[in-house]
Amino acid sequence: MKTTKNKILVVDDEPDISKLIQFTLERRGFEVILASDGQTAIDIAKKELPDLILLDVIMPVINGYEVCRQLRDIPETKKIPIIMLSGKTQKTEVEKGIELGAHSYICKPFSPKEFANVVEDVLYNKKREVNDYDR
Amino acid sequence: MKGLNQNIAEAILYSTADGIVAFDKNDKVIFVNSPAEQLLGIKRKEILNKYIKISDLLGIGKKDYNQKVQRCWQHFDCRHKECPAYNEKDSRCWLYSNTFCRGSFNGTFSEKIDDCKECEFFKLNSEVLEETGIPSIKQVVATKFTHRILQVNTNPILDKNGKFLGYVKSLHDITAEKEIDRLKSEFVSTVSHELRTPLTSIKGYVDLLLEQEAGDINQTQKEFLGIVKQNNDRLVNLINDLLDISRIESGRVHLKIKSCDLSEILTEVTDTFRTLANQKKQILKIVKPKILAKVAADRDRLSQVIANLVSNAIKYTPTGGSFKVEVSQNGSVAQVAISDTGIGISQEDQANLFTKFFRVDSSLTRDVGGSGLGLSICKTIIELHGGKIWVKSELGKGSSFFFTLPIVQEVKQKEELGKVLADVKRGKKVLVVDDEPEIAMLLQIYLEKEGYNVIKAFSGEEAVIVAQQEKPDIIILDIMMDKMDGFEVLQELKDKSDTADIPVIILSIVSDEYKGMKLGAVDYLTKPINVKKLTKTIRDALKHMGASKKILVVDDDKHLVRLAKEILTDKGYNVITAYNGLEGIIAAKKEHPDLILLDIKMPELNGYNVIQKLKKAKETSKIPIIVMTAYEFDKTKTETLSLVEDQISKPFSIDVVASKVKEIIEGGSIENDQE
Repeated sequence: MKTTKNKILVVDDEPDISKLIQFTLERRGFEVILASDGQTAIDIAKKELPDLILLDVIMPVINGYEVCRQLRDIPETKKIPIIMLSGKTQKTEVEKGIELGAHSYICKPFSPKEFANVVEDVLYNKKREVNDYDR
Repeated sequence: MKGLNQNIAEAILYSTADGIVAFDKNDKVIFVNSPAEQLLGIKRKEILNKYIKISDLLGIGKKDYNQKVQRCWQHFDCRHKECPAYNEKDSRCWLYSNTFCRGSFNGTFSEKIDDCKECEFFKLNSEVLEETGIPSIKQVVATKFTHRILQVNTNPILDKNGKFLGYVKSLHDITAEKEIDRLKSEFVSTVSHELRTPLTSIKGYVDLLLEQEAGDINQTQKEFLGIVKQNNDRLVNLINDLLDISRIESGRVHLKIKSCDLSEILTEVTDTFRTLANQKKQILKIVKPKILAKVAADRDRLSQVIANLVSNAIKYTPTGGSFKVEVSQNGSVAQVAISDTGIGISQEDQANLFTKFFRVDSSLTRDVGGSGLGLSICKTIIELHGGKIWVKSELGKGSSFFFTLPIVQEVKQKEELGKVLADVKRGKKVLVVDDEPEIAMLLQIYLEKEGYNVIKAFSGEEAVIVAQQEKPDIIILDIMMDKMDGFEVLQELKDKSDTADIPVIILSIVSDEYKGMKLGAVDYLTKPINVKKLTKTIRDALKHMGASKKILVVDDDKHLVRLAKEILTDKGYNVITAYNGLEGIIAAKKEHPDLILLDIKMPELNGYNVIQKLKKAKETSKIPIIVMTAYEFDKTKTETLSLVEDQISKPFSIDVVASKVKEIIEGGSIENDQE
């Protein structure tokens, strides 16, 4: 039995999309923290130690790949599962994310339901999976 | 050209915009026109009548140049050593690669063609080849002095008896096209992902509303939101198709042609549509012959074509109707027909069906949606495979879409050969040396159970002879033997060049590990035999053999180094790492790797400096280097880059790295053998 809510850090520079994710996840009983840029995301991750990080790839200044890379270098955040979200859907881009240590890579656009399922899968099974991407 | 005198012929050659350089059969330059001077940045008098290789004119290494030869027929390699056209260096049939035979074969051009036509590959595939034509060599190269990207075509000069006199290289400048191409694909890629962001919001919020996550909605609202959702999905498909077609058209899609079981793919793809067909109560018939030769195709792309055609068939077949997928073999091609019982397509529309964005205008087509790109993509993919695609249809009676793919028997044969090779590999040859037949027999039983191929020798002398004749992959050696003991055998094996590399494991009652190892044994086990330990030792020793090639990875990006190390270790290489330029140079000098993977952008000593230092130093100058970078290569550093063997741009895929490394390491070793 879980006594505390799972904490999820959502990193996206598009407020509409952050809100969409926040709404969906909160309805599933998760606690959501938002960050709208890479640096803030790294700072929050270090301080809050979330159970999972949802990371947009295309962001100004520090992009998602870089955030992922840095989080993997910090001992405290090294093991937090990361799911990348991106409009970059080519095979090489997806592979890059996975190679950098993301557990999963969700291609935009996604439906909230599918998306929440992936979150739960990763969180509870720590399972690696990648949804449809271009060949 | 007949009847024109030489002046006229030369005037014509000088007036073209393309560069033309002609060579005689000994590589002497016999003609250079002015555009060639400009494109190559060389004066005519500097090279005329000189013996020069085109690769030198283009300012690139020979190996690099060969790699850039577009290998149109690489999947149909002629690997028959008896074929006179077989060239060990590029292991391709001369006729199909159009590689010139100089030196290694003394016959005439036409003799060579005749010989080629006798080769087994040609006989098996002549129909396919005649249909698709034999390509001439085209290669895209960047020049050293002028930074142009050239397409180089090669044509032979023959006398009237077909004797080879020399060859002509024509140089076509495609720098501008390449640049436009790059800009276009960059644009499409950026636009498509910019479009995905707003679409994500639309899709997400509509889904939430539809799933009543934000409260109840009434039937009408549900219907309207459903329409929004449908059109949003359509837009997403359109973007995917656009991205796809732009990549195919810009030539960035490289087919991974393998021998594929067509009927298996058909079944697999149609199965994914069963639910959809069932929903429309449609009957699906699959007709296929019992035996169908394999086709040469890219499995993913072929599936994409079939999926597209089947999904169309389902869309246009009315509820309760039937559609059919039929595959047949017609000589050298396999033919697939996908027939629906839908509304059919008028003669007029059939003509435009495969054009981009063309959609038959009717109420039904408006209902079923689609981007108008699907068939155009199918056509491109099938044609890239060397096949054809067409439609037959009658209004009101339904449509049939047909496509063909070449069947390549050679591929099948090769696969069988591959299987045999795999078996041999699994059954590595082990030589067991023991003067006691019972023990040798026991070892044989143990090892054969593990899948090894066991040969035996019962004395030291016999062991040395058998080892030389049979070249086993590994030797298990007893020490206590009459006349010639194990240590002597080991000494003898290590002294002979043809057996020196075979790993030897000593298995003995005598425990003199020090002496054994000193003589060059890879491991020393004592009797009684511990089977588990023995098989593990053999496995490790064999694995170690594969890892003998050493690769140095130099990058300041730790993750990348780790990734490269994982990939390459997995492929059986011995990987050493360095995290900056200086470390890289030190490691290269100390470890003498067989290959260096080098990042360009590093702090302090960057990749260009490292290349220069390595190539200057005597002990490291011959080590091949592959550079990798996430950035465009610096054009002012072309000269430095011309010293390296290959380039990889980041992010790279595992396959690319592994295959480039393999190509260079194995290619390199062939050259060394010849020296």
